[in-house]
Amino acid sequence: MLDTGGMHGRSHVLLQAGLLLALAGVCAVISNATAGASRHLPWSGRPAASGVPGIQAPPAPGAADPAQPVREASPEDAWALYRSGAPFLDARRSAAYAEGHVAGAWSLPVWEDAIEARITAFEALAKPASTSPLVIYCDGGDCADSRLLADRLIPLGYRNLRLYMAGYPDWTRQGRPVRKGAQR
Amino acid sequence: MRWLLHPWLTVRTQIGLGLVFVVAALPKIADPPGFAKAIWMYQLTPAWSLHPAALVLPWLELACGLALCLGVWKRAAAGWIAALLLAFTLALSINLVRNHPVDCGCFGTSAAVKSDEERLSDMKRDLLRDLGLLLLAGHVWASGGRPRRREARR
Repeated sequence: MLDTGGMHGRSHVLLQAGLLLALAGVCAVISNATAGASRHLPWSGRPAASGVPGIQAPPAPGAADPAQPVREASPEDAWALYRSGAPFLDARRSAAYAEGHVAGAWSLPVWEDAIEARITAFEALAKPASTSPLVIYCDGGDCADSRLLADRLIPLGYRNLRLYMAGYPDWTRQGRPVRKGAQR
Repeated sequence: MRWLLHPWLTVRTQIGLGLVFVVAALPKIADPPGFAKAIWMYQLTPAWSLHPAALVLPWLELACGLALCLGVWKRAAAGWIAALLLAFTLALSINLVRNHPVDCGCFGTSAAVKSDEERLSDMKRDLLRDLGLLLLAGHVWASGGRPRRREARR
């Protein structure tokens, strides 16, 4: 004899599907609650859409332009800014930073929950002026993390953000100073 | 076509599909921010759903994968897996159509920096793989609810 099938079977499958989803939800809550800072993810909130408007070519390295708070920095500009002592902000994940970063760069991993605390620490220790240049980099190419970090810094009043779009791969290719290890 | 539903084949399909999803889930569970970034790169999900999806989906993949490996709740697990694969396939297709290269993020995040052409090529390969897995999920679904009946000896 064939077994029940039909409505009863379907409701059984739906119940099981619901239980699988509930189990996944419970595991996610527990896992996230016990995750370290680099793994933790807030249940709500996300980086703003990468809406840094109109990244412009810079008129002169280092100079602030109130009309263009976010501008692109060429590899040459980035090197000039580095030599002038401008802070470098590494927007990549903290694990990537630990594997290698621009010597002296600050780790501000835009996708990690610790980003707010890291920005606060950076502001407290580096005390950057709102018009002093801050060079932001990530993995180069179409990496969006630099733009997302700029999105976070603009509301804090920074008006001279320089996106080093070629990023860390270019820095190492040029043989510029690098360091390994976790953030300071 | 009867051979398609032969237990020898269905059990192996079910376990193989289950293992793929277990293997796919683990790196994402280990790195929710990386998976959130991968989802965000598709530019398809509403803002409110990004982090919950990044936190729950890998566990759902793991739960369904384990269910298939253990042979329990097979239809429910295969149903979820088919739904997830349909969503991934749709997301990849939309981004391919609009020529927007993304990292699949299917088996965790990749550290390699790729060119746009490499990404688009990978996306086509991933799309084919997802369609293949979708066929396997359909196979498990079809076999999972099949009543176990013995041929009556007349």
